[in-house]
Amino acid sequence: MMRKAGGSVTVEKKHNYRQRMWTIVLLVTGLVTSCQYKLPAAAAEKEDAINRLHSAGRMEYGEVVWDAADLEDIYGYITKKQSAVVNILLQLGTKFWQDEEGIHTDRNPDNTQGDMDKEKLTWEILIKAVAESQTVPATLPVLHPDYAMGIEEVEERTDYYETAAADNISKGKAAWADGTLLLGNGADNDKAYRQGIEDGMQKLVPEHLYPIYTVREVSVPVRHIHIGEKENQNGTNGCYHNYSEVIVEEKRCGRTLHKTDLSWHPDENHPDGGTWHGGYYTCGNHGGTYSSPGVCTHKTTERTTVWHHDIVCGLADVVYATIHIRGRDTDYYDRAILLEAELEPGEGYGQFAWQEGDELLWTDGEDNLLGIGSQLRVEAPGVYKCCINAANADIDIKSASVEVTIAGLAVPR
Amino acid sequence: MKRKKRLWITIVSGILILATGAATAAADEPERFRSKGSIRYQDSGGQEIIWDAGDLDVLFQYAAEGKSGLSKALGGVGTKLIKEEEWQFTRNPQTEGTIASIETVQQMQEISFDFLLQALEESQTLPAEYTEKYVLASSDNLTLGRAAWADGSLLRGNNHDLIESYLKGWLEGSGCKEYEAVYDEEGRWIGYRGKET
Repeated sequence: MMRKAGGSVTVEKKHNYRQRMWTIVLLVTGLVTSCQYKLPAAAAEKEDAINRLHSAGRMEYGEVVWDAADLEDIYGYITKKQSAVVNILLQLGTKFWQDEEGIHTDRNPDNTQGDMDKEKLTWEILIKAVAESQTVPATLPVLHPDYAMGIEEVEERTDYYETAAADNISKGKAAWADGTLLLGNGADNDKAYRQGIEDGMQKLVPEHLYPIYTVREVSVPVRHIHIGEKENQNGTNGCYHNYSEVIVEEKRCGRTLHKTDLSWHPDENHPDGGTWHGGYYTCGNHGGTYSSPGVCTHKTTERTTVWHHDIVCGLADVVYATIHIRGRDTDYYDRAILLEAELEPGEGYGQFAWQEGDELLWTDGEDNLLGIGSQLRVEAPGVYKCCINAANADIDIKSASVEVTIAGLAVPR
Repeated sequence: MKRKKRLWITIVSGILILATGAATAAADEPERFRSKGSIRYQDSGGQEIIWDAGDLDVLFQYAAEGKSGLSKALGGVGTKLIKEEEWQFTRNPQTEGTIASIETVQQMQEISFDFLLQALEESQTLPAEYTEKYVLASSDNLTLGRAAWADGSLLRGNNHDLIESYLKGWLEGSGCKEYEAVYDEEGRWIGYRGKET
């Protein structure tokens, strides 16, 4: 028998033995019959299919052979395709498992495929599995719910996974859910970006993110400054030796002489009938009579006391030490930065008058003591000062300060 | 040969039982196969030989259930069957399918199992029309608690990209003009920090 494209069925006795496969041709290559036939609303179970075959045995008439095994071959062909569906579904994330109640499908990625007799998988189960192959499994707990940013209008979920939407996917990325191709538009990310700007302006760090601290290294020299008073009293006061000196200075007037007017003063008692007055040179300041023009020759002597304040400490511009403060946030997850101070001795280091206790003290910007020693662990941005625990009054500064700032943020590991 | 002839004579001479009503086709459907009825006899060796035309329907239904069901389920997950010169499938959301599922025998004839298997295999891939502007997502690309499928993996959103966007905004808001990625000792990105000048 041979099924032709037109759908007719004929019997030809002269067909060779291979044509006993007519049944395979009939069914497997498309069950070529009239195209107006509607497919049955099939619900046959796989096991039913093989069990419902009644044909058995083999009969031959001349070269005509009918063998019930051919029906089983057809069954085997379909089953093979069914098996291929199972394998693809496994690749697509479906797991099958069975218990006393029957066969179950599972799309939880954390579960592994258990023992399963593939032969028992029916079309009904497989088709249901295909239909659900893009479904997000229900009640699958969210991993790391603490990563939630809690940003308004961002559609986070923290209990169980829910089906994504395009808003929930980054721009340029795509995925499938429930038969829909989700083309990411990055809407949630954009909202997060805007919230980031707002928080950054206020330096607010969300609880589950880790601040990365930074500090700009400083090096400050501690220099000698002169102490004591520059007083007008003989003797040594601090760095100053005060003494006076009297300076005697002779000054000439030096003013240009001016000539007085010559005038006749009549006097009847004078034998000449009068006398002449004036006509000589004199100084406007000191008077005197000079016969010729010139300058006043009057002299005065002035005595002035000058005080000297000589520096006698010998430490002018001497650096006692240099304070270095540095810090590096090496562990991004301890929410802290370790500040380290170093006192590099200068030529005047021996002049320090250390007080009891450590040489270095740490305070905050308001001089509250935070710690002692060369290191300070800091867990917040702000100004931190490292102070020299010396009693010296002869140094220009006793501390150096740094500002710890948040340079960045780290995400949870 | 004599034995075979005798056997055939036996069949046609009366051991033949025609079973009527064995066809399983619905009453309103034309009969699917020309064969009908059943033949039962015992051969000379005493073995029962059965030829039941109903078996063709059983197998037909078994195959039909698979093809029709598969095509319908594939339609539910975004695959469209298109009839042009040959049957094709597309996963482009903007394209309409010719049929929602295999419904006629002709469609069943024309659409092979292998064709449907290929469609199933590609059901979580990116349609070719979108590969220029999109790539398949990963869990990093999804908001926390949101999930979708790609290439056989359930993508469980972990907020990675979202937090990265937040960090960029945070640094810009804090006045940082240039920033750089920070990596842990294993080379994984863990954040951003302002560039040291």
